[in-house]
Amino acid sequence: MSDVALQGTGLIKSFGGITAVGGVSVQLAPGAIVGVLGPNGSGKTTLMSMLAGLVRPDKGRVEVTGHDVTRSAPFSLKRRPVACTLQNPRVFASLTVRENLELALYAKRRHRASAASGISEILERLHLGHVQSVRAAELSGGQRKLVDLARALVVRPQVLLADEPTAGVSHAAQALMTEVLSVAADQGTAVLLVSHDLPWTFSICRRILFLTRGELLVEGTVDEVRHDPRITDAYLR
Amino acid sequence: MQAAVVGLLMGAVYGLMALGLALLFGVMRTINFAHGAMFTLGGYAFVVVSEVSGVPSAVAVLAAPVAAFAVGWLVHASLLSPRPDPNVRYTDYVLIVTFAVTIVMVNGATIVFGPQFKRPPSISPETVQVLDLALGADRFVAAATAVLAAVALWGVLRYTFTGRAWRALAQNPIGAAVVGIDEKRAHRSAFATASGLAGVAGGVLAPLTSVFPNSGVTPLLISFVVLVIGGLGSMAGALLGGLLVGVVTSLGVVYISSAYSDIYAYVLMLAVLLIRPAGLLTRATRTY
Repeated sequence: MSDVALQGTGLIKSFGGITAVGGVSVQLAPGAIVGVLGPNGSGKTTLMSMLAGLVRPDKGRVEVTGHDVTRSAPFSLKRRPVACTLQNPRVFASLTVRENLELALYAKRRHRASAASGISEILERLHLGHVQSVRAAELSGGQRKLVDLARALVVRPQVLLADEPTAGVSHAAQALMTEVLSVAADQGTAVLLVSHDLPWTFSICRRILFLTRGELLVEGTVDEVRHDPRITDAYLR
Repeated sequence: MQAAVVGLLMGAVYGLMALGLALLFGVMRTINFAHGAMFTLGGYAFVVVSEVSGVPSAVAVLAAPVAAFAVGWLVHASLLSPRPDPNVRYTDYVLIVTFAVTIVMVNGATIVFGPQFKRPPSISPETVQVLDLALGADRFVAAATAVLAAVALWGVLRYTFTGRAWRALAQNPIGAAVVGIDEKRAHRSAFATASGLAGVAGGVLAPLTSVFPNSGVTPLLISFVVLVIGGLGSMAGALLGGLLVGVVTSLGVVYISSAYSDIYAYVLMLAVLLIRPAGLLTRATRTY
């Protein structure tokens, strides 16, 4: 396994002349859990979207396990072994919870036979086993967030990118997410979390990137970032 | 009563035509103008295979969906897969390209087959007695085939990966990209399948209505009407709309005048638009 699971170098993205991300670099080792923090409009989601392949950077390069995937489509797990969850969970309302996971697995070209146990396992771990035959439309917002996470993890990605995974979920669901993400990291998945939830991000991450106005302001351990006065300034500005 | 039966039988085939358009509208958010040309292609494929090979009509008609599916696949792979200029919306691009494809196919058919009508042999030459009306069994074959094709499509949508990928794309294109659905492949299979459905309709109707280069124009227009009546993108709406158009047209011909046979469907559409602008089976949405 490569020493670097995900590497984004000099990523730049502008929308209509406004620079959303202006030259940010990020590196994740296998098994690392890294948080991306920053005030609204700081470019966190754009950065994640570029790493996920959902948005093509204007400049810069994205590598996954040493392979350049900057121009690879997001759907190819072989080329881009990355899964992601978005701020608004994009579950398919008319499919059941299990079908949502099956669809992700088939789409990523995983073998069907090995899929069944993987699906049941992740659903149980996220306490979704009892709703696996329920259509996603009938789930609560918090449950949809959990399904979204389950759907990303079931393909066993080498990199997981999660945008605001804990927004609108209960403390109990948050604890489940913490546990599941920690297990995934222990198994070698590099995890990048974009969040506004500072206490939770500080509790689960080992390293933090702090963005403001599309640029990297601070990068360091949780303690270093927590006590950096520039962080308070950025939020109060 | 007899008029209603005849209308239901024709309506099932209208529904099948519209089903293809509804599928594409749901998955690709656009209209395929070549749908009528695929209908014509299905009819010609039936005629040619029947004349050349001499196999029974019930077998030869299978060439209709196969040919339309294959051509649909090729059209998508060659003309609709390459992304156009980013300043052109893809949905607009599809409209223009499929319109061009129609022109090429209609003129190609005129060159190859000539402008005259062609009629393949009957699939089932018997007649069926409905009350005091004797109807050609071909009408029942056409309606039964339409129902079977609709059920098959439902099965594909419900149980296969491809069908679920279509539903996922129709519901949530960003979510589909996130989970790893290859949009281009899903579009291609949907386009080919929709073309195949038009081909089926063209094949089973060929012994009843004959085939000529422009024979797909009226079915295409009726399909649009059916789609609007049922609700854009609604599969069940397409079938219901097809049946309604069939029955209303048939009743109009019998009880009012056959001179206005093409008008009844449009009158029905206007009535539905006044009462339920979003169509019968689509939940009304309002954009502010």
